[in-house]
Amino acid sequence: MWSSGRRALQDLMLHQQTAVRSFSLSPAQNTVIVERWWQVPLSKEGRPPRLHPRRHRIYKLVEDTKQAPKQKMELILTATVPKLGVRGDTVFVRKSAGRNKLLPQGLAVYPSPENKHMFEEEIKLLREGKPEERVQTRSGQLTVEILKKSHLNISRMPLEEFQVNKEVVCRQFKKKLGVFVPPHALSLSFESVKEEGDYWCEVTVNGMDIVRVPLSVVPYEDPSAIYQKQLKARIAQAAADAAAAAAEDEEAAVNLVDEAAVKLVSDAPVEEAAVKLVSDAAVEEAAVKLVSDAAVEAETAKDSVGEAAAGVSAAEEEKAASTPTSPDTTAPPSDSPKKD
Amino acid sequence: MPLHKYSPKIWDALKLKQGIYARLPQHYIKSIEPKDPTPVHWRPLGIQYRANPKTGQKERVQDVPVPIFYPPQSQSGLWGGEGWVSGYKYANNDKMSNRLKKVWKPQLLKREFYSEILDHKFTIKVTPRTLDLVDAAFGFDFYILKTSKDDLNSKLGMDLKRAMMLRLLRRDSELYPADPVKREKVYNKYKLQVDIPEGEAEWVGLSLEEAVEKQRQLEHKEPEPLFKVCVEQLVEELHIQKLSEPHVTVKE
Repeated sequence: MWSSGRRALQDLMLHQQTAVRSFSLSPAQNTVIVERWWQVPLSKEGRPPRLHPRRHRIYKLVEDTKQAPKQKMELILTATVPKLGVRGDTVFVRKSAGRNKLLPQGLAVYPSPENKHMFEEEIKLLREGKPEERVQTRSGQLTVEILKKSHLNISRMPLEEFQVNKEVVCRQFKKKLGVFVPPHALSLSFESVKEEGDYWCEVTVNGMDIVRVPLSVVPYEDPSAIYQKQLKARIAQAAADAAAAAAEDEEAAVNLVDEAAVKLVSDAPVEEAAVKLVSDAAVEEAAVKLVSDAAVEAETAKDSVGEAAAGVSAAEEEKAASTPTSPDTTAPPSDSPKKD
Repeated sequence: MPLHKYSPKIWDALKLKQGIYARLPQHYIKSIEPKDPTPVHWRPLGIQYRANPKTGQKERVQDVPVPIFYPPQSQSGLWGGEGWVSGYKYANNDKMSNRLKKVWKPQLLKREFYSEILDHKFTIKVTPRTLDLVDAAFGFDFYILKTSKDDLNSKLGMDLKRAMMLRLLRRDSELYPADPVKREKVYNKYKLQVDIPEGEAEWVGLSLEEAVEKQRQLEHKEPEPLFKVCVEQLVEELHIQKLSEPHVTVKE
């Protein structure tokens, strides 16, 4: 057992050793505090008090610190710890957890004035430092990840003075996605819009990273429970109809597609049929969009037909589907597939 | 007629005044005088005068420490000022019941501490109070360097203190020989805790016997061989003899 304290020190003085930090479990404190039963008579100044060998040795237990409630210890984290926090947080943990896990593994440090000063400097650097030197915080990184995958849908209210501007978008971010975006961190591609469609906006996280979030203004849906129930019933009914109709029209659609492949012009009937099939299977909004898209892009009719056919086959697969499958032909430049 | 010339109670003090003990450095002798440790097992009043709780009159009060026994094994661990409190207690805390002998002993735990300055892991027997003190001092090295000799109450603690102080003062490449950046960081962290010269730091925490031995080593010098002394004497005598003879110069 050469690692007992004193011998270890002597060995150390002779030759160097490498060190490994590790702690063990720490149970409650146990310091006994006693007081005398009998008072000791006051002695003259400068002289020690005279103690009776028996009477003044009779003690009464005042406090056993092991009975006291366990206090938590304060530490500053240096790395992200699950359930506790991120780097720079001051947390209160149980003494056992702190001494066994956090401190030996270097995940936290004591809150001494020097350490606190160092972390304050880090925060200051984050706020006021040059853009190259600043490092994104962990919460900032997570926010960026969430924003990359999100898609903001704003319902177009049936009001005359409805318009989508910066404040509206900020509020919608907070309500729909739960992300607080102050107006100065948001930049829109437009001043204000009233029509339905797809747009995009840019969000600056912590003044460092900019994320492009696709934005779409969708037709108004009554959020009340009754209307939603009716809508659901309607969709289910439509899906059931489409299951029957799609089987018959599959052949017809394939034939039409072949014709379109041969003929470069006059895709109107094909498109109409395709549109009809899609609208039977999908939600109204998507159909309207497709019609509008097809109407706008007559040149890329072939593409739209191909997509409509693809849409048809997709709709056939999702017979009871209620999710809209709207191929974004006028898709805004989005970073990644939209959120479900 | 008294048995001794001086009372045995002052023999210890007298011993330090003669022989090699008198030649020990002054700062060491001052450090070896026992001072009162911080009260651990009793609560001090802390004030000189207070109002009597019964009569309300102003009275003088004094702190009477509870005598604590520190067993020899406490010197090879870090008990944080705790020891054995031995005395009596009344059964059921009632003055009229039996008086029973009672010894309160601290709870000892074997824990591993890592010292940044010494770059080593020590397994030491400590009490929970020591662990709290280490946390309060923001680190094991800080605890050892900040606590005084009487509060540490351990030979091991004082040896660690001496080793840490010397390593910080000497600034050799013993500490982290392969990593100068870490070395600088450690020095800057602990530089405020060492403000005594290296000559004094070498005497920190030595027991009386060790100090005497160190002094003896310092004063020791090799006995000069008698042959050398005699040769030098002879040379001196011959030189004087030659000078005293008249110098005869032959005129050309």
